[in-house]
Amino acid sequence: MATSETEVTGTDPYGNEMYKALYEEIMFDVGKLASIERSVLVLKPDVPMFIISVKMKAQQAAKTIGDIASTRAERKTVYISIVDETYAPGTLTALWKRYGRERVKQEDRLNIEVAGVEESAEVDVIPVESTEQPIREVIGALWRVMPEGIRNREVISGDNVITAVATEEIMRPEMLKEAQELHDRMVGEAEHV
Amino acid sequence: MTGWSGRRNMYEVIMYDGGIYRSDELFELIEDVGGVVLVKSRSAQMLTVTMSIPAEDRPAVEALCKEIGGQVKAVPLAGTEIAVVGPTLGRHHMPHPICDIAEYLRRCGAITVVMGLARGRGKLTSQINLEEVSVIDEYDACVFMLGNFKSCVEAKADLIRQLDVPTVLVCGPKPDGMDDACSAIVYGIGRKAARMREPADRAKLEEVGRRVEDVLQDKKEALSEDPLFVHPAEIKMLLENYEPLDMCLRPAPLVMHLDGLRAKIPYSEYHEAIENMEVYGRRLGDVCSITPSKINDSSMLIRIKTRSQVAYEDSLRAAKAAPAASAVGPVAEKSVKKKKTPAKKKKTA
Repeated sequence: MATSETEVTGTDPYGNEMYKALYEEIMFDVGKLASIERSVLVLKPDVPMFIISVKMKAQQAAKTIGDIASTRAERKTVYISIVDETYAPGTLTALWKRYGRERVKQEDRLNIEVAGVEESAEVDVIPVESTEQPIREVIGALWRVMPEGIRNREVISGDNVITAVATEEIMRPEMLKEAQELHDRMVGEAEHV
Repeated sequence: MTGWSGRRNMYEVIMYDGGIYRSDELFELIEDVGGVVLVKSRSAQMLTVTMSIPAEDRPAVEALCKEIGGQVKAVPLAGTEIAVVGPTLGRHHMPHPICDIAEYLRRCGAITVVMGLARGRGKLTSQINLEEVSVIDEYDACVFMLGNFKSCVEAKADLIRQLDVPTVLVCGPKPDGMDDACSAIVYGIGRKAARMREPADRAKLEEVGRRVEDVLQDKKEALSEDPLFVHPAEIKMLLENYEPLDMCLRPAPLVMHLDGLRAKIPYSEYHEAIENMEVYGRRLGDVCSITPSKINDSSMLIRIKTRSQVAYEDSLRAAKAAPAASAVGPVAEKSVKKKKTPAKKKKTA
């Protein structure tokens, strides 16, 4: 399942092993494991404090209609056939926003017609999700990995690295410092490569 | 005093798993041999029937089950209701493996209920309140599921320590110092994000089933030392024709426990009628304690008193009646004597 490298350090050997499997399973479930290059999990249940730092393989690009659907133009109408169903609601919203509801006709869940458009290339470049969306999905997956009671959470992100630190009660400066150091190390590795 | 205790080891619980074809013959036979249907569930043309039948009639029932094309399975947890409890109902704790454990216990014949605590999450902040303890204590046994970190599991021992019901702790690592907090521990099942399908996982589920069976066996042995006045199956037979229960649309309106039953009809409306029913020539209210469920008022718990408890209450009642009778006796005698021999009245006085 894993195509990325996952490193776990912590005070509980059993928990380390189980959380590595859990982390990879959840990332696989949300479809992000393939886009992760390296992950570092620091698990300190005795404190309790958990840090997960994720280095993505490449800058997450925004998806466009051309990426998730096949399009063809015919007699001033563009026919869109959505291939990746997860983007169906976003596609419809983006088309409504651009052309208005009168010109967009949804034949069924995955097939949409847009009237009054000459070329399919015009529709292909319409973004269906923001560049923030993949990062939000990774952060959401990290919250799923973290234990439920660990509610006080901070995220550091930038330079293709996302680092999340969480504790149960007060987020102490030394915890944030440890997370920042790990984040910087991951960013440094990325730049070095 | 009459009662069921002399026949307590004569019933056996088995499950028929097969088609609906000729199942009416099976139900007739169960009735003829004096057995009782504990759970019946039908799905399309398939039928499963968990039944309690006299041991000497088991070969006849098994023969009929085979004749009509079904299978007979052993159900070691039949006639029990088990709570499978997680720290919360959140996705971090709940779906797997709690549901897998609950499903496995159902396959063993138990009725299972999955529940989460309101504030069970967190290592330092987890807690269980009195209401939750009372609800869990209504069940025959409890399977309490904790996570993957040893220190967290050990920190949550207090959640389990407060439960009176036999508890099987299921967790990832082997915890230390928890032996006194629960009846049994099964380790090697922690938090997972996938179903327990692998052979190692199935082996762990079987281990959970065996541990639950063991702790229930201990409870059964404790009950057999001071047997119940009447077997729960007999009260089930009595109640299942009671119209409000017969018409109840909730799944399994009558659930058997080791020491009684749960009847899923409102306590406030029906408890008097049930208390006034008769079993072995006695009011049901005299041989059982009938209370509303702690979950809500829509169901009630019927806990059968033991023979010694009934005998003790009889003796108390007799003792209470005796002074009253002795107090009433002379007065009555006086009044009789007053009519017949007025001279003696003075003497008595």
